[in-house]
Amino acid sequence: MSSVELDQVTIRFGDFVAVDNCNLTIESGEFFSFLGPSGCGKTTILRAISGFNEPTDGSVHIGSKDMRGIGPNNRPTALIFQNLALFPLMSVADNIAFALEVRGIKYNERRRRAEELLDLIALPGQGDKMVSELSGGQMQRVAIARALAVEPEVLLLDEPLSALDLKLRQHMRTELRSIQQRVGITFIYITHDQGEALTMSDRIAVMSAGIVQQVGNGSEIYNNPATSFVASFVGENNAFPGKVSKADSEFAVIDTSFGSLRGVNNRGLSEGDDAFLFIRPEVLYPATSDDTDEDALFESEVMKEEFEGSFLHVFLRSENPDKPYKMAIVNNANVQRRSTGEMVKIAFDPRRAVALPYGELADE
Amino acid sequence: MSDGLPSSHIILAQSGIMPSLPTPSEPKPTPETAAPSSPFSGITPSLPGSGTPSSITPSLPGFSAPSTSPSSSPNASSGTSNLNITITNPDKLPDLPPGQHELKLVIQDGSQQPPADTGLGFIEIFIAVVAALLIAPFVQRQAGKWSANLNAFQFVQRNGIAISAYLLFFTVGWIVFMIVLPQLYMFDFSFRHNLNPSEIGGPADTYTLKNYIYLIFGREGDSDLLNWLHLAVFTKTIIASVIVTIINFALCYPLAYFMAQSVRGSNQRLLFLCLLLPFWVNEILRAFAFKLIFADLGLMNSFLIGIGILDQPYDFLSANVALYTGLTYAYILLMIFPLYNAIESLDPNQVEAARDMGASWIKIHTRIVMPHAKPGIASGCTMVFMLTAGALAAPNILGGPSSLWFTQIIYQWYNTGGNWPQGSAYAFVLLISCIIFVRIMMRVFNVGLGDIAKR
Amino acid sequence: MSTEHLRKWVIRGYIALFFLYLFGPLLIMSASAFNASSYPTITPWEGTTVKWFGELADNERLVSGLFNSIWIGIGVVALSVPTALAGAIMLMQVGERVRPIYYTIVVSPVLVPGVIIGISTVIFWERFGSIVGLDYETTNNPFFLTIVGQSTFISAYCMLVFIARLQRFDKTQEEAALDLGATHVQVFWKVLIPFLRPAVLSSVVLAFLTSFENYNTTVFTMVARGTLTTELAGLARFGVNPSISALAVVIMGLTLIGAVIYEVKKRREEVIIDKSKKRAAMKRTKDTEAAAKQAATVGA
Repeated sequence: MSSVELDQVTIRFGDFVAVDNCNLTIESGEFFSFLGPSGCGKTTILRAISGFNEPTDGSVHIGSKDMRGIGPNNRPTALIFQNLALFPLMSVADNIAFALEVRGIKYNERRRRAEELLDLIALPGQGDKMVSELSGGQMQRVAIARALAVEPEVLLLDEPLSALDLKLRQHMRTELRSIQQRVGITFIYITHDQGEALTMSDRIAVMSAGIVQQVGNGSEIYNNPATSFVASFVGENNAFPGKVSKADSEFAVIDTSFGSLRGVNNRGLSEGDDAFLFIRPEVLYPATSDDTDEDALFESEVMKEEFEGSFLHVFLRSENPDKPYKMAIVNNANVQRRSTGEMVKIAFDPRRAVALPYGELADE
Repeated sequence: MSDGLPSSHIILAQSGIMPSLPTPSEPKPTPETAAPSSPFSGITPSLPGSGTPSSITPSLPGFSAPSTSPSSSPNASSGTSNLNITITNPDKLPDLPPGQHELKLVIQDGSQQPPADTGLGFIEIFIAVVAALLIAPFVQRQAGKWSANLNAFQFVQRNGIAISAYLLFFTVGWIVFMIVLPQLYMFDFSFRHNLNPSEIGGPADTYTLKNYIYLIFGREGDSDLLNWLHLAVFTKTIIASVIVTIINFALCYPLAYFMAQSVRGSNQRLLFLCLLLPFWVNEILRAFAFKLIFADLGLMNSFLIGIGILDQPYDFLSANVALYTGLTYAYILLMIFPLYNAIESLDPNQVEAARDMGASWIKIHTRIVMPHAKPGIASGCTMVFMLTAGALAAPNILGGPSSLWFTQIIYQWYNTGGNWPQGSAYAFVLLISCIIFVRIMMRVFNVGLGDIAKR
Repeated sequence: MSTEHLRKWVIRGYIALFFLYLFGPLLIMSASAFNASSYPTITPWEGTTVKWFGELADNERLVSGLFNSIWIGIGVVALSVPTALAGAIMLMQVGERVRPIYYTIVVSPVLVPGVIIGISTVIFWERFGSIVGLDYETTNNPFFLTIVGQSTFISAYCMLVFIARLQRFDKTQEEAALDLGATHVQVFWKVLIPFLRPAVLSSVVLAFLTSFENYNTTVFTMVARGTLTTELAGLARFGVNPSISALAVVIMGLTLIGAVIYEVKKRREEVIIDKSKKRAAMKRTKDTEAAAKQAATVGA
């Protein structure tokens, strides 16, 4: 069991900066995820940890040991590739036992260990099958077993579930988490699917364009995003652009095209700064007569409504006609339907709205 | 003592020592024998009882350095001859009792003493390549940045030391010692005199253009202005190759088109197999089969006489009919497959559409199919031309006495003619012609080298 | 007759003539092997016999040529196949800008006339050997020269075979093996070579057969000796009895058998591939069903 430390890691390919000054420490035994859109650099970091890319600057430490110059075959890591990279010409058992084979361990011992691992991944006795005879989920598990055979200190997973269909993916999420907890080693997981990251991880690093925007657990990232990117990437969010008219250590009031709106100020905004006020759809609700705080109210036109089962989504006119704001009302007995074009008054709790400095937003 | 030694009969160890060289006045080549390739490269007379025969320098009348004046040779083609041996250092000879002695002349295949260092230019190349490979990693480490294309350090990291060594050794070895250097050496050699091995590295070993001059102008003192014979052969070879290529193309195109557009599935594979079968048979045998057919008593003549077209057997072989037929036959496979592959990728709907619009079939082929199949056509034609121009087996077997193929002349220079530099020059001319042809094809058809080499 | 009908017959006629041109000479030559006439021909037919096959076995030069061909073939395989593999791997790894140059250089022997390769090989080793001080006997050894000369272009052919196969190699398998702790040599032997097995087999066969039937280069490099092919050429030029035809029959017979075996194997392979495709399709549908069931039972 080992911790992984990334110390000022920068990775450049020619002029292109794939990873820019990444500093973070992953605790031993943690399930840690890198979350971000394609091309944000998360795969590059994973390959740097496993030894396939050397950082241009900075260093990777695993278990306090500097890994510079150590090749992938000599690091205490094991990587699960996105396409699994199982050996098609070998049987399942041979795949799993491969790591032992290259270390010169005798056949009987290898076989025994392979059987143990097959039990662990709930595929007992399937050792002699060929890889092509397995289903997608089974191949996943074989890939994991193969990696575990090496008894790595750190297991690295490169979007392992992206090729699976929805139901299987959800099932595998729980599987992976339970395996990790059973075996107790550090898992470093990369994905672009925030649902996966949020449900499986102890902590998440959100990345964009090579920069780590925020590191924290799911709740921190969701409720207290550090940058506009994080706020807009994780979950759905409504971004109200404007200038800060008033600010203190607790709250900031932003002058938006819908009037002044107030939100939590955790990032040190001051008067005059360009900012966004982020309010999640589930935080907005139709105003009642009890809502009197002017900075927590605004009015907008209903563009359309969508009944989605657990929620009623109401789309409200925003500055950008292509990107309406979204209000999500829990489906309960007194849900009131409105018609297109109707003007509604919307209210929210300012303690659940987040004011953040102006920055890039995640693409839709 | 020296005067006491009688002149001796020399028993020649092997016959064929004095071949007649193909001169402009004697176009007929002599039959090939299993003779060694350079009859004059080392003459080491051995006396019974003596050790190193370094003291005897036979001088053969009429043969000094057998390079520039082959016409002054005697015309005997085999058998014994009288040679006078002049003994220059009689003191070194062992005591021989008076009387007749037999002096045996043993012709060896090469010299026993390796020739002295001559190719300084090439040693430098060799050292430079090795040095570059050794130094490169260190230069990179220092410079930090280098051309990402040849990053030796990353290369070793990626492949491990053992595999890197294997890859570099075989690849560099192949490129340097089998592909590049031999061609350079041949090129260099074509500019040298035809010397005895003992004279190499000595004062007589200079560069000269005379081998190339010979091709065009013939020998000095020749009555003709130009070396008509060899030039004619060269031109004929090229033109004939072009014609064979065109005929081959005309022959194969329809079948390739038919196979690509109309036949599918297992029938297709059967057709391929049928095409491939004859080409698994040795090319010699295939050429020989044509010799059979076109011989005086062969099928062709018997058939034509039988149905009354001919009264007497026609010498197809001399008339080159056999040769051209054989050459066309030889490389059908190399024309059909590229054509087939190229045509196969054409969407048959295009042809359908054109036909719908009323295009005539010539139009369809010249405006739609052939432009699409350009890479295949270029590939097929190039390969056929080069193999035909460079063919040796078919001309040897099927060629009549009047048809000399350029490669046959090259072969003679090496074999019976004993003039390797001359042969190299001719070979180099052949190589250049082929390269020119390839470049023309590449330019006209707009294809790259990779397209041509694919089969 | 309508033009469509006429066209069909023209096409059929053309194909028939084409194949007549292709096979005719070979059939005639085979027939002549059984003709008692002392000159190989089928006209006039002087009686059927098999004596020429016996003559064949007695021809010492042919037999020694055969053995030479086999030894050379083995040598060529031993040299070309590793070279071709190295060349192919290098091609995949060399940078974008260098690749076309590299490719041109290694593929050039395919385009150079065989006689030139033979000549340049002989000249080079004689001169180079003497400069560097190599043993004269070795560098002018006909077997050495022939193996090296032939390998020059046979490596190129085999390299093309390897490239085709290598392009479909999944690089992540190599990385996975490394990641699991294998050394580079282990990755090479346990992952890469098993994948390349079909290409290796093809290359070996290709190299051997190409070497065996080579004439243009061999005739220069086999100084004063012969392979079966060069001896055959000598006979075809001057020898005048039908034992050559007999040899042709033997070779064609072997070829035919080889072709039939190959075709049968291919047919069988196709059936297997079809079966496994069907199985894979069925498995995919089972996959989703099973997963759905499991997800339902496991719960959230």
